[in-house]
Amino acid sequence: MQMRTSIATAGLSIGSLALAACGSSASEDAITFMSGGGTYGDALNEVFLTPYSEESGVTVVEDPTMSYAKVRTQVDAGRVETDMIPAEGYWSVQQCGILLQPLDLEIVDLSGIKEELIQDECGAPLLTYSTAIYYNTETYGEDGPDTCEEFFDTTTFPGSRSVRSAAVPNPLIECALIADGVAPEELYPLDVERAFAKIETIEDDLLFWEAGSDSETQMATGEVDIIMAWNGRAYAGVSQQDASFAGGEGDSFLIYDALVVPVGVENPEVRMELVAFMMQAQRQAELTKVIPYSPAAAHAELSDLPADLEPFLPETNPAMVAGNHVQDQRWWAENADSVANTWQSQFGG
Amino acid sequence: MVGGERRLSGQHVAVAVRGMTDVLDATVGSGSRWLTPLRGRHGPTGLLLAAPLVLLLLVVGYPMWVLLQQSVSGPLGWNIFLELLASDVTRAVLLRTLLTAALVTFVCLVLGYPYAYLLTVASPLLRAVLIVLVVLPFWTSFTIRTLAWVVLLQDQGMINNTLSTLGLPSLSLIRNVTGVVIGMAHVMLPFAVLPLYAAMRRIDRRLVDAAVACGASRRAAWRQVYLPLSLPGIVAASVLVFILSLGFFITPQLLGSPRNALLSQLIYMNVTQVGDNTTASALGVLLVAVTLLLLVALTVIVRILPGRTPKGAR
Repeated sequence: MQMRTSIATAGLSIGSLALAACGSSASEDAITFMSGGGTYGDALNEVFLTPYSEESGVTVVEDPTMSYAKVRTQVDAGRVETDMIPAEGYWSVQQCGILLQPLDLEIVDLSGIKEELIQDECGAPLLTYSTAIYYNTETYGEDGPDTCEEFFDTTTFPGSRSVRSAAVPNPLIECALIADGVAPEELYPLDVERAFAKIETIEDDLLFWEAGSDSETQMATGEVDIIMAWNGRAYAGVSQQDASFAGGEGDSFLIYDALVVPVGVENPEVRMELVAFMMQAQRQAELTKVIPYSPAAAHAELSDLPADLEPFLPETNPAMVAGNHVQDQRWWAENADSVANTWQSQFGG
Repeated sequence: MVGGERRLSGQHVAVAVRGMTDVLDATVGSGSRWLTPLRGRHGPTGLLLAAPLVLLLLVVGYPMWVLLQQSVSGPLGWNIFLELLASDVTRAVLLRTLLTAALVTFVCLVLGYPYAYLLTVASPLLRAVLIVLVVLPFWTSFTIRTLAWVVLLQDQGMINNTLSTLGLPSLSLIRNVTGVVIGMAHVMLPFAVLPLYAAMRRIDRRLVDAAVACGASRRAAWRQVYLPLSLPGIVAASVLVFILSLGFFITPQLLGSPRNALLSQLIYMNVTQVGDNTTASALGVLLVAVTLLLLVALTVIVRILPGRTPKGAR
């Protein structure tokens, strides 16, 4: 009996603790920041969220269950609990004014951010990464394919090619057009039909990776010959998993994650303060030390990076700059469904 | 009434599994019973069923209703279903989903049938061990099991490395239908074994001996006596595995490629990448509708199936 009482008491106190925790996270000034968690979430925490909490006294609660659908559900239900997300550029453009609210430019200063990354009124660009072409040095030696033209040239460079399986915003489309002779500056609006006609020519050699970690595994095990992968993943594969891959200096496609705030959050100006904090150039530069993404700010000075990271970033590898094309998220936002459907009928229909 | 078969082994696991199989029996084992759960003659059974039924309406019925509303909320209205069925992509993916589920069902039956038979003839101890082995996967996270298959099946994975060490040609086991079916069959196997076992342990094996004694060959006795008697189990296992297989997402996502996309992946793509909840909902409704149609068709087939054992075999 004694035992039972104490268990019940313990249960009660744990319950009230949990209640207290819920209470504080739901209190007015706590900001719920939704990201994909993992090393990305940890890096954002270390560089931005924890310092901000300490500086401002505002509690920032991390929610690692990143899902765009969740934001939609919350907004549709009129109960928005997610205050901020680092979203892919195309989604910010697509949902601006629908699920997302315009940035308060009185509070958020975007003047230091690279101009080409500001593609809508709702997204505050936080970081950039590139999809580049890397090749297996065991297959091709030291001079393998890393331009779009070479990616589609199965005669000179026979072998398997792996690309991301998600259709939107897959730069395989842009790459096919460049390989087909379209000038990079004249890519948009993308001629999807022409792109898929070109993709068909390599379809038998095409493989897919699902999550970024799969692309690392494919490089590490050497089961693919050429891969279109995110530069951060290629770095991880090469430096941590000893993948024998090189390249990335031909064509690459730059995309960005932007901070977005859903419509209907409480005290939007408090959220905008955090957005503003994360737009500081030097703070963005700090992030690159922790995780292999580039800052979105134009004048962020990168320093103290791991030496082996330098070849993988356009900021530290001049050879990457010429072929580094900024993907137009406005086009992708508008054409997401038609590309997704064509993609599905091409590969899975 | 077959005394030997009903003897409790005393092993907790076996008892628990027996309970599970009985539940499976009650729900899917007999094609005719489950469609008439609230007949007046059941009296107290009807009352007992009222509570779960209310819960079911609340947590399944209502969301389904919302899903249906959402599917017809777009500019196309109800025509969205016609539009979807007219699309080559949807038709191809739907057909592939059905075929993959059928393939998984077939593999599970081929593997599960002898296993279930073994369970009925094994000693109580061995049976407990075998049941633990088949239920074991339930205790591991779904995603982890699928990732384990990635490690085994990938081009430089354990299987292919072993093959190449032995000088054998490597196999393409992942990012294709083979990988998807292997992964799904692994998850689904218990759902085949348990109903099969539930049906088989009620079969009086002396009937087979009697057939042999009357001059039938072993094979004929098996085919004409044992197999028909185990048919309810086969039907139950098939229905269960097939229906559950229609909704798979993680396994085809990790072990397949866009080339083997199933309906759930098409739904996922619409929700996450395209942001088109209307189409996603309509696809969901379509999947449920197809599933229900198949269930009704199966029920009808089971009812008119000749030579089916009466439920009172126990």
